[in-house]
Amino acid sequence: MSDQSLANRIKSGDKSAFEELFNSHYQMLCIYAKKVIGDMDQSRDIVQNVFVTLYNNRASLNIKSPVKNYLYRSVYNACLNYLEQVKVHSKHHSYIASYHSESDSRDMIVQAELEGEVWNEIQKLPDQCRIIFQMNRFEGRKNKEIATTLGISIRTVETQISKALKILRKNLSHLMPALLLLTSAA
Amino acid sequence: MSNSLNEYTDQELLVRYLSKETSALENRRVEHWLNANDRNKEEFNKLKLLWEASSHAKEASLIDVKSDWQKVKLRIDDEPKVRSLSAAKQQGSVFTRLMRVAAVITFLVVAYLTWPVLSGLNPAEMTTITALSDTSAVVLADGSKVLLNKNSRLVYPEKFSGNTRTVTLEGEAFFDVVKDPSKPFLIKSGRAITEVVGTSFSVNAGIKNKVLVTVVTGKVLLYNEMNQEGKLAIVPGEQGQLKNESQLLKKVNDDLNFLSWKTGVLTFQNTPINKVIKDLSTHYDRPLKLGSSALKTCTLTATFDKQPLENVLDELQLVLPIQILMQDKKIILTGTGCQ
Repeated sequence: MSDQSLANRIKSGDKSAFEELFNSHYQMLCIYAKKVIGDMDQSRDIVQNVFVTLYNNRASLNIKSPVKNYLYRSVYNACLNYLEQVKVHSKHHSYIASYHSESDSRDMIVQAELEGEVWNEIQKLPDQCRIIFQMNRFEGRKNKEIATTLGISIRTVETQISKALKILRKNLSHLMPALLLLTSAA
Repeated sequence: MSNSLNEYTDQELLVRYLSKETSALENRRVEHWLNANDRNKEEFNKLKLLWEASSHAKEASLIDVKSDWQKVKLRIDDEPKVRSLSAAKQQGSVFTRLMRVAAVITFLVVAYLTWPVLSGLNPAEMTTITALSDTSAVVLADGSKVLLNKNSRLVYPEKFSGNTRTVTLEGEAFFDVVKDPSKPFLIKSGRAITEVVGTSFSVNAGIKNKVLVTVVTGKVLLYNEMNQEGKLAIVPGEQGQLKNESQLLKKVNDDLNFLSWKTGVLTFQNTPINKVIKDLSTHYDRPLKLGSSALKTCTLTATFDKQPLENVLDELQLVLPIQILMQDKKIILTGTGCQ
């Protein structure tokens, strides 16, 4: 289902179409907002507000321009708004606001989408493989620690991680060069 | 000593290297391998790229899409305000102590009820708490405590005014109710009402067209909203049912695992394998199936205390003549049966 036909259905008040739109963009929009304002909880609130506003204003939704662009633009504006509000309280935030330019913002969108893609692929790994891989990569745990926690050998941990890398390499091959954008950004 | 890395060992060594857990000797082996030819180097660079990109993806795991969708959905539905789950969860430790509370009453309530069930209540004063992927705890205005199981929802007022303390439940929950004989505590689930005068108990909703109330200790009344004459009193060891909104009946509770979602403990005593896989499916939220009807002759006696499912399946294979097959997310038990 393309975003545009979704937009059409949303316009007529179809909540399942709205849910579909939410599910396909919410996560990446949150990652993006976090890059702009530096706080994930606030980012989630901001993106939720954008979706609620979009639904409330669905009648005036312009179905000719991509909904995704609208979402990113709205989130970006809401983030700037948020940063303006907290500026009074924190010099750090105002620094972030002035530091991000338009082109930075575009890079951040690409990075957010890449991170979302990588995360999606990690979620598709077989259970044991995924759990072990996430403990290493997300929680920063030592392989020995992982082995002890799960009651398996270090060797099994290493084998499962190498299996994860092998699967990811295959399923993310189309994004391989682009992934450099993530690692160089840090 | 060979300088080339064996096909079967180099992958693990590379993982160790990427994890920065190699010894000096291993480092030299990897570097030697890297410098051997460009293909090795290219191969390694790809792995390193994935390795680093994966840690960046960590951010996404902080986002609970399902629970956030529920928040958005409630806002566009213009339904009662939602209390943040994270705030409620901080009260979770209260419930570990409830394990020792003497008066425990548990009942399961149907999910046939349509949401929201707010008749006679002013929605503006109501709070909704929804537990999705995890249990969630909340303390009510009178000090009563509720632990909601996942996939459950509780609607309660910010303040209890009137002659009763009424909440609405969809799903399963454990209650610790503060005693107040002048103000009975009522849990509404569709037409079913469970009345508690003051004790602790647990509620579970999820069976179609059926309300189940299983009492451990204490005493509750179960009845149909439309017929308040016929109240069923349920005492420890008993299970009351309200079927299809009309039939009230009572039986002895023979389910050892009705509180397992809260305790994490699963107990089986000579339990038929059918019931075992049903309990495991519910507890771990994974589909388990019997691959052959011959297995129905098997029974299991075992206790699993907060063990991961993989672990439990390994033990099953040890004590029963069965093999476990994994098909996608489905777990299938096969074998020639027990004598």
